[in-house]
Amino acid sequence: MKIIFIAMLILLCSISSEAQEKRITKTGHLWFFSHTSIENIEAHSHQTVAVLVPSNGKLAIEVPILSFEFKNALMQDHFNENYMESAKYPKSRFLGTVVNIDDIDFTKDGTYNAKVEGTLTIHNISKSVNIEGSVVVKNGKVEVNSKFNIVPKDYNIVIENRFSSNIASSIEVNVEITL
Amino acid sequence: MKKRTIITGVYILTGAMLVLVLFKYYLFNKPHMDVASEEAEYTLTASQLYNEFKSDEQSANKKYLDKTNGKVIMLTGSVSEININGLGEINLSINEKSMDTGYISCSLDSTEQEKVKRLEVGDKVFIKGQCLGYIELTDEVDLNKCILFDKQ
Repeated sequence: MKIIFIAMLILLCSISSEAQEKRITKTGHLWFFSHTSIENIEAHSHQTVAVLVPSNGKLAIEVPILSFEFKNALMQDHFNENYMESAKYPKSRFLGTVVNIDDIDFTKDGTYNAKVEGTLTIHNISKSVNIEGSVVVKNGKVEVNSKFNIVPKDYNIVIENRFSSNIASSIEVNVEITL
Repeated sequence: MKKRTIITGVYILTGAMLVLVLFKYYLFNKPHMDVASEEAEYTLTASQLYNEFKSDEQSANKKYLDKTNGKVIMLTGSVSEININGLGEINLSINEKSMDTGYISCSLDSTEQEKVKRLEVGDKVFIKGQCLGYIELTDEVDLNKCILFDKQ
């Protein structure tokens, strides 16, 4: 009898944890800009994967580096081969939490501010980051937007002197995902 | 005699400059990878590809990723999901029984819109694309710039 009770309890727990709603996208848009007086460079990925659990605010984002597209194919090659070492480190990842998740009402249309804390891994280097963004709830869809800056040097990405005036020392990253 | 040397010099200089300009022009306009014209380096089933990444990701990375791009591969499998987003971008999930919850996530080239209209979940497809690696979060292997072929 006791065993049956425990078995039922375990079953119940596993059901409730599975029922925890997850919002997923496989086609998120992530892009970055480098602004200098000489040139502006940007690259876009439309294959960003993101998972958000509204009940506890857990947020995970992962992007294959080789999915970034530049206008200039040579720049793209250089980015993959020299800066990101994409064959060795093929993805970047963010794992964290929306700390003010209780302020966001996923059942009510509106624009909410989101404070996100977590670990950003680029080029196999992990750093803890605090990022601000917005969450737009509209007709049952959730759009997460964020803009923040990263410094390539922090992630052991070395930009050669001859390109130091073409590539900004701080890169603007934009995230736009609909879950 | 002197005049001839000068003329030859001018010719050589002009030639060299022309080569330099063309080379710069070529570099600046280097075409992006075109999956359609590339020969597939590997032909395999969706579950074979998935299992290689799942069992040993590092060696799969070595096999399927080059320094500047992913290798072009030809895949067979059945369509388990068709997603078209607001921008008209198409993403197919390819799955086979032995893959459990894992799948191959294929971002299609914009040229494939017409073919997708005839596509249904469950259809067997041949799909050619650039391999981008494995994503743990959703347990998927990613391909992009994919082109569809009907099963022969």
